[in-house]
Order: sequence, then C-alpha cells, then structure tokens
Amino acid sequence: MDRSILEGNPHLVIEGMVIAAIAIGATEGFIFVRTEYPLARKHTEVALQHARNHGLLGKNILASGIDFDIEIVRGAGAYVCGEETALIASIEGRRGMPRPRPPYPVEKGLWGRPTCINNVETLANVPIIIEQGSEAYAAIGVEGNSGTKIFSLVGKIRNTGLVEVPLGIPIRKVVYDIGGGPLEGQKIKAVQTGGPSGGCIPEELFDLPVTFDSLTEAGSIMGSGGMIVIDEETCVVDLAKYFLTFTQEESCGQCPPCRVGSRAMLVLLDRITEGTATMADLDKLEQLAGTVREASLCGLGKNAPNPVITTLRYFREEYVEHIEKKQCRAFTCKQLITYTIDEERCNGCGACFRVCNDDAIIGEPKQLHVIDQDRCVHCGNCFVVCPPSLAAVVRTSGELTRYEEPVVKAKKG
Amino acid sequence: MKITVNDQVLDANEGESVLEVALRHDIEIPHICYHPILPANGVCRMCLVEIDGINGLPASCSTPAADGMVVHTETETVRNRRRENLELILLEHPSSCLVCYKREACQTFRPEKEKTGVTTGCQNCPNKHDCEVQRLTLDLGITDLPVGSFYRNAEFDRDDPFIENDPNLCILCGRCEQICQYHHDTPVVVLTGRGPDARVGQAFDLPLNASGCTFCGACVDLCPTGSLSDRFARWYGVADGLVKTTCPFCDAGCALEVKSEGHRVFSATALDQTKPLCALGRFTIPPFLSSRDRLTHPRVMAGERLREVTWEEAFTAVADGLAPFKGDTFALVCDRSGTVEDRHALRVFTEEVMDSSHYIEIEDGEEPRVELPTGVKAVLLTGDFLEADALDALEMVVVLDCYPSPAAEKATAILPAAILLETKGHLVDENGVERPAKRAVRPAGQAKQDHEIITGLITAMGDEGTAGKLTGEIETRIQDSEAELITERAEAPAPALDVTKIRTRYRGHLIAARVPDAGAVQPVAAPVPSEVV
Repeated sequence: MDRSILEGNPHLVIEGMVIAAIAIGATEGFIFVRTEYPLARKHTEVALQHARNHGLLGKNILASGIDFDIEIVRGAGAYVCGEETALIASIEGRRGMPRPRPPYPVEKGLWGRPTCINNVETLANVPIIIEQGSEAYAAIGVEGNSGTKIFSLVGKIRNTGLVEVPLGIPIRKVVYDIGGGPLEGQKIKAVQTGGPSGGCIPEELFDLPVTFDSLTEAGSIMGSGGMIVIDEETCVVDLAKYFLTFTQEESCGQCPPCRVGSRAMLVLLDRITEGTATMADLDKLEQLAGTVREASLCGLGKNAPNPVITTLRYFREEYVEHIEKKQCRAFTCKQLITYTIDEERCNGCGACFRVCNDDAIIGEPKQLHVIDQDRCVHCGNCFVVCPPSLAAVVRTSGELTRYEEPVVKAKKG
Repeated sequence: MKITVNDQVLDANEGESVLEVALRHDIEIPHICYHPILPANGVCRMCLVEIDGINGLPASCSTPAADGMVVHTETETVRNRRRENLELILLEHPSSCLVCYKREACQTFRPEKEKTGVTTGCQNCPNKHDCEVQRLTLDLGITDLPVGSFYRNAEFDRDDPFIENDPNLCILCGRCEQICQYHHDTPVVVLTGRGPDARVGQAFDLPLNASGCTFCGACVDLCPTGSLSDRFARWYGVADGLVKTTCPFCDAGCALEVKSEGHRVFSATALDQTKPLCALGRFTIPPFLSSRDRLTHPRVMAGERLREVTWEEAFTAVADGLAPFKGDTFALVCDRSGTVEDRHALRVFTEEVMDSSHYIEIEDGEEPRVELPTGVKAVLLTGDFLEADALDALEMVVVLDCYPSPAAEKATAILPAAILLETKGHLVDENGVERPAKRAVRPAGQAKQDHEIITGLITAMGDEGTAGKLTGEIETRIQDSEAELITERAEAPAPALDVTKIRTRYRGHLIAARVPDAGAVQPVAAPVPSEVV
C-alpha cells in the first residue's frame, strides 16, 4: 500500500506530485510520513535528492520555468492524521486534530492557502495515467472504478502479502485464488476491509466486486486497503472489540461521540464478551453506534463503529448467542468458555494442576483431576498444557462442547 | 440572503453560520463549544441539525448559512442524536447529581456552600450555580446514562497561581484553547493526550508560568464547567451584585465586570471579552480587597497605644493635632492610584486648608519612597511612602491608608481608607480621558473614601464652608458625570507576565505581599524537552 510505494518506488509519487503541482500551480509540496516508517522516509529522502540532482525538482524544473520542491514531514504517530484536516494541522506544527469542513482544504488548507491533498497511492497513479493515457488506464477495472488497487491481504489464508488487483474483481477471487483459500481444516467466515475503521464482509457476499461503491454499500470502506481474512476460529464480537479498542485509543479526543461514544460501545462489547450483557445492551450498542457514526466530527469517528455495525448486520446471531446462551461459537471469548476434565481421558499427569495459577484444579498425581468452577478464571492454561495425546480438557461454551481429537504419536522405531 | 429554519424564513448575513442566524432570531439550538467571539470549532456536536441537500447531521455552528438553505432543528433524528451526545458528554463529567431522582429536593434542602476540593457532583462544584452543562441536561431532561460513568480520577492541578485545573470536570469543549489562541496566537492551554486520556493541560505538562501564560484568565471566563476555575472566586456562589466599572490598577482603563456576593467582591472579568485583561486586573483585585490585614477602624494614639475610636473622635484628634502645623511644616504624600476626586480633595486640604505648598503626588512608576522637604514636621500619608528614619524625624504622622505599614506603627492617627472597587468617582486613562469608577462593594469595616475623610477633617477643623463646598463639588461632579467605560478596547493591555513590570505596589504596599499568587506569576524558564527521537 502507501508505505510499500514510498519504500519501493518513491519516484512514482514524486512524479505524480510534480504533475499535480503543474496542474494547480503549486510551488511547494509535502509528503507526510509516519515516524514509525523510517525506511519509507529514508527512501523518499534519497529519491527526492536524486530528483533534485537531475533537475526534476527545485527551481526551474528542466528549464521549464516551473518551481516546485517537496519536503518530508514526519508525523508523530497519530492514526487520526490520516484525516486531511488533521494532517494539515500536524504539518503546521499544531496538534493533529481534525477541524470541521467547510472550508475544505481546496479553499483553505495548509496555512490558510488552497491545498490539494491526496493519498500516496492516488498520486502514484498519476504518472501512469499520463504516460499510458486515460483510456488505457480506464480499461483496467470496471466503470467508475478504474485502475488498480493494492491490498494488504492477511489473516487466516495460505498466501499473505501485498497484492495489486484491478478494481471490480470479486472478493472471492482475491481471497481464494490469490490468497489461496482457508488454512487446512478451516472455513473462511468473513473479510475485514479498510483497516480498523472498515467493516466486516461475510463469505456469502464474496461475489461482491471490490469497488468503492459496493464496499460502502456493504457497510465497509476501501480505506487503507487492508484485507483481513477471518475463519470460523475467530469470534466476530471479539474482532469488533479489537478494532474498536484501537480506534477509541486513537481518537483525538475532541468530540464526545468519538471519544466517549466509542468507549461506551467498548464497555458494552466487553459486557457481551464477558457474558454479562442483556438484550437491552445490544439495542444500546446499536443506538450508540448510530450516534457515533452520525454525530462525529471527522472520518475517524464516523467510521469507528463500522466493525460493530457490519458484524451486527451480518452476524447478529452470534451477538445474540453471546448474550442469551452465553456461547461463543469460535471459542474465543474466554469468560464464556468453561473448562472441564474428561474423566475417561485424564491420566492424572498433573500438568494442568501445576500451571493453574488460581488453585482451581483439585487432584493428586496419578489421580483424576477436577476443575473447581468457582475458582476458575478461564485462562485456558490447562487446555494448553494437557498433552495432545490425551486431550482431556474439554471446552464448553453455551450449548457447544468441543472435544479435541487425541493425537497419537507413532512410536519411534 | 434568506434561510428557512423550522419553516420560518429568516434573513441571514454573509459569513454568518446557521447557528448564529438561528440564535439571532431566538431559535434555540443547544450548543456548548460555540462562543460569539470565537471562530466555530464544531467539536461539542450539540448543535447538530438537518439541512436539506447536505448528508448526515452537520454542526450548525460550523456550517455557513447559504441562500435558500432549509434547516430542521427539531426532527426526531436530531433530537435523539443531540440527547445521546449529551449523555455521552455526561459520562465523563461528574453527573451523579444531574441524573439523580432526588435532585430537586437536594437542591432545596442542601446548604449553599460546600468547601470541598474534589468535585463529584453538582453539589460541590464551583460552577453549580451557573453551569451550561447543567442547564442543557435539565433542558433535555436527561435522567439516565447508557453505561456507567467514566470518571477520569485525574489529579487536580493546584500548583499554578490564580488558576486551578480540575480535569475531572472537563468536557473538552476546547473553548479554553480557542480563546487562548485567539488572544495570544499560540495557545498555552491546549488539548493533550489522546482517546480516553485526552484532557486540557499544557504542552509537556509544564506549569502555566513555564508555558508562557499571561494569566489573563480568559480561559477561566469561558469554561462552561467548573474545570478551569479562579482560585479565589470558586468558593463563592451566585453573584448578588454586578457592577461595571473601570479597573483601578493602572491607566489602561480596562472596563471590568465585577461580581460580588454578600458585600465581598469575588471576581472581576473583562467587559470586552475580545481583549484579555492583565493578571492584576483579572485576579488580584478581590483578594487584595478582602485581605484580613486591612485597616478597618479609625484609631488614635492614646498614651502608648493606638486605640479604636469613632470617626468623630478621630477627626477631632487629627484636626487638633494638625492645627499647629499649618503652613510649610505640613506635607501630604499620596500617589496617583486614587480617583480624581480623592486627589482633588487631598490637594485642596493641603494647599487651602493647611496652607502648605508640600502636596507631593508620586508619579506612577517611581519608586514609592520620597524624601520630605526640609522643615516638614507633620505629614499625612496615604500609603507606605516613607523610610523609617524619615519617620523618626517627624513630630506628627497621620496615616490615611488601607494596610499596615511602618508609618502606621508610628502614627498619631490611622484613618482607614476605602480602596479600589470600594471607591467611586473618576479615573484618568492613558489618553487623559476620564473613566467612571463605580463602587462595587461597600468599604471594609468602617473605612471611608479619601475625600470623605478629608471633608470630615476639614469640618472638624472648623472650616465648614470649605468642607461643604468640596463635598458639593465632588457630588455634583460624580452625579453629572458623562464619563463612559471603554467597551471596546483598541488593543489589549500589556500582559502581566511579569507583574513587576506593571505595578508592584498599590499605595506603596507590595501587592504580592497581600496576594501571594501575584508574586508567583513571574515566568519560569521552561525546561528544554528532550529531543524527540
């Protein structure tokens, strides 16, 4: 994605910026790079120096009479600086906080001047369009969504990494053909697109083409171009909680819907994953998600509830199971899992007994162990250490009980 | 330009926001972060409205009115979102009292003042009588919150002079940062931290005086909660007295809005909020007026001790004592802090009644210590102006002052003077224009204004004609006055970053000695933050 372009081919961005500058008559450009990406910064710095040495940047570019130079600005590690007005504030030396629009940056941007602000990937596409012509570029992809897009394909699939695909390609093709499909013995459940502010798209909708509009319609966003594939081993409530934890920590703290709203949503999600929620909490969660989405000041807040909204839309029954049956079908939410020891499998080896930090396992060596449910904190240590050949620790969540198959090792010789 | 708000067609001006148009026409849209003198910030999200043709719910404060715009402020969605938004604000604000079902009874039967440091609800909040959050909550009828409250449990910052910062009350409306930016270009009070840790403070958590704060107090004035508070004023309740007058400390002539409760002045704020006050005008007047060391009763030397007497006895004693010193053996020393009328009375007393040419008026900015002309044996001092050895050479010292001084210890008589906001008359600003000084509070104890004391003295000396003439003159002058306050200042007064640069002494008394915070305002060098790697 953006980082890979700056690390791998910063010249593309520089060229795109020069073209954009000529188009709008700008004399100064800025590349805003996160401090956490030192390599991207270093490579871009080198590329800028090369461009200057060749007369492609600076005063009187290639004797054309055009002046344009680019400066690199280090961001101070704030997710919210991806929001254009916050990014501008950060470059100006102020706290990276979004401000309400209008005025839009094109009217009043950096230091109050009209500013063209674009994504690295967008600018990197400019030289290609100029070079090959708009028709050739528009031939890639589908109507209204032409060109290619780089995705970071990760999660529970065989092949992970950065992939560049033409827009309009079905999600299924990306996940199954390029990603190689699910890991052994698993089934793909959904894909989270657009990073932490994006949404979760279920497997049923995998025939959806990857375009800006279709993703928005499905409740997600193209966003940063992340694609996180999840399988049946992942709990969607936990997933939503994970992303929301991130966004609420990254909230700039200005507006209450984002700062407090996402935190309140998190409290409700915590209740659900801990099994203390009621159905009223689910309604509250939905309502709060709506408020955060509609009342927030900037894109960070408006999109923060996306993971919750989409998982509620497509996997509502999982939420209801958590609340009503205290059941986590992916066996992820610890508080909803009960560990018991199968008396027929346990040989009293004492492994679980030794790792239990809460003295919840009663038993003597060579005798059957029993878990005292009142003391158990559901840490799962006993399940982990129980020898695979025995697999005596059984997990129960709500109505589901999961036995692991004992692995019988072939004896040596 | 016309816009439609809730089916009402309103005229709008160029550059006005939707909220401003609505408020101008008495259509109430709840708002917190909006303030008339500040640029729209749009962060509190209370003023959300629906506008035809605009997606979502735009904030009316940051949306410029456009011709033909159709705005709805009371639709179901808007109401719900507004309500939920306020509920979220209340989650971080001690709101137990607001959502408590016993609130009304509690407000009726609880005693008024509660001097507690930590605020856990409206009951013990410095702002309980005048709180925008409280008002909005009652207006919208919020009685329950979606989840348990998020009390910040942050440390109460009391280390800075004059201003206290209780982050637990803050709703992060950002007005403080905005007004600081507006007045001083680079804000000192800023939003720090992120997400749940966001709060109002100073960059790198430096104290205010190391961050370049001028202590203009504008942030305190605009804070809608009790988060940023005036250390002195926070213990008072609702003002029962409100007077607009001129700041008596220097000749900048800033107009003040003075609040008092039960004959005690507790706060002085700028009348023209677009220009900040200096630290002296904003914060030092109430504590300087209310110090316990004030001279409050006339006292006369009886044998070895000063004895409390009535004004009549004091006047007679002073008149009798001064009688032998008519002519150039008498001198009067005053400074320019009093009203025009007071100084006129002092001059008349010296030159016409005492027949002396030694009317000594210390210029502002001078070291308030004078050497008396030779031959002077009796002196009337209106402040701490003489060195100890000069006092020893005198036969009679009369002190007309507000605070004890070395002179007061050796005085034949002490006449307590009304000062600052206890006086009325006129003050002259730097351009020579007279500005009205209104009495905001009755004088401490039995103190009287200088000209009242002087006329009393003249009467006691048997010259009732001059006394009557002087009183008449002054009263007509005050009554017929057409002097006006400066309601819009051309420029802000010099920031009192360093109080020593403006005025350290009032009537010769060190202000910092009476108001310790004033001495602590001197800027501290900011430690250089370690290089961010």
